[in-house]
Amino acid sequence: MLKILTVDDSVTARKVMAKAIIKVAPDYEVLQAANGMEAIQMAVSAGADLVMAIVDYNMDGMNGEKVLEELKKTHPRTHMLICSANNQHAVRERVLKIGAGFMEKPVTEEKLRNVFKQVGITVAEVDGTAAPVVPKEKIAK
Amino acid sequence: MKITEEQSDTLKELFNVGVCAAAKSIEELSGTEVELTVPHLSLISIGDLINELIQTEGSTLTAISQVYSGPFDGTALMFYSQQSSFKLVQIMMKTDTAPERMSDLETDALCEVGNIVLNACLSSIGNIFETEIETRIPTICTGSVEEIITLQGRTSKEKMVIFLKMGFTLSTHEICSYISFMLDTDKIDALLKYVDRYIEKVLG
Repeated sequence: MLKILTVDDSVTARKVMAKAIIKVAPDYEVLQAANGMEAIQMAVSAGADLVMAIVDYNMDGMNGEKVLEELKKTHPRTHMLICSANNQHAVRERVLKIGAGFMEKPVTEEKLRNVFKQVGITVAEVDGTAAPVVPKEKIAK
Repeated sequence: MKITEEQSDTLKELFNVGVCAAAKSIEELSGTEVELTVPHLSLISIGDLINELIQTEGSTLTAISQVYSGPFDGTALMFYSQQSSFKLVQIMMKTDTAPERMSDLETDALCEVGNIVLNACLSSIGNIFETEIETRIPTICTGSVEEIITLQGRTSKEKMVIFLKMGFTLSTHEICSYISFMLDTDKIDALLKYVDRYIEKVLG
């Protein structure tokens, strides 16, 4: 099963994100990590099944930017997204520079649906019916 | 008085969203990125808080305080070391006035920065809770940590408060500051009801 990883040091934020992902993209398994080290380990275990990593920016230890840089080394084809309330221009620019997308908190299903559609992740129709799964190799980079 | 792990985590996350909104305001005002720490929350007596702040920040602070009310009441504080406050005003006003010659206009500018930042933070939290948080006119004061934290002696040192704190730094200008919220425990039940309602809404 294809996987989406969410990384956030807030349990509440992780639960909110996981719930939204399950609703919007029910065909994907959601992995949850509380920090950068956990995220890297989970990504390695998931291997090529990891289609997207959604990472908080402001975290103790490794911040979101550093986590993405590490994940890029092992998963260059995985889509990367920073999800943060910190939407300063400087932060957004750095995120874009490392080849990741940016989504502002608070998370909504609508925002997530738009992001997933942009990168080719299969989303459920609004009535909850899943659209046909797109093979992994066809997911746009 | 007890706060569950889930309530504490949610409060920190909501505070984070609010402070990030404030950071964007500062970035726009100063043209400089604001680096943020992760939020910290403690349930602490005013007396212990004073001791803690003296140890970490020194004995004198400049603070902008803003009383807010609505479904829950409290005092939002933005405080700086004296040196940082002067530097921030110099950046905002694009002036190099020496600190000892700081005019009323420049002091007013510092107060306005606090007003923008604290309101960005409070309104963002109000929006998440789908309620209105009313704010009064901010006031600026420089004094001992005790004077500032007890609101010039109006608050007893035994009083318990929830203290949320998040540090920010304007790295290129060497400015370190904190945005803090002191939440009176008298009103904490009202706040926690909103937190529980939010948790139920987003996770229930």
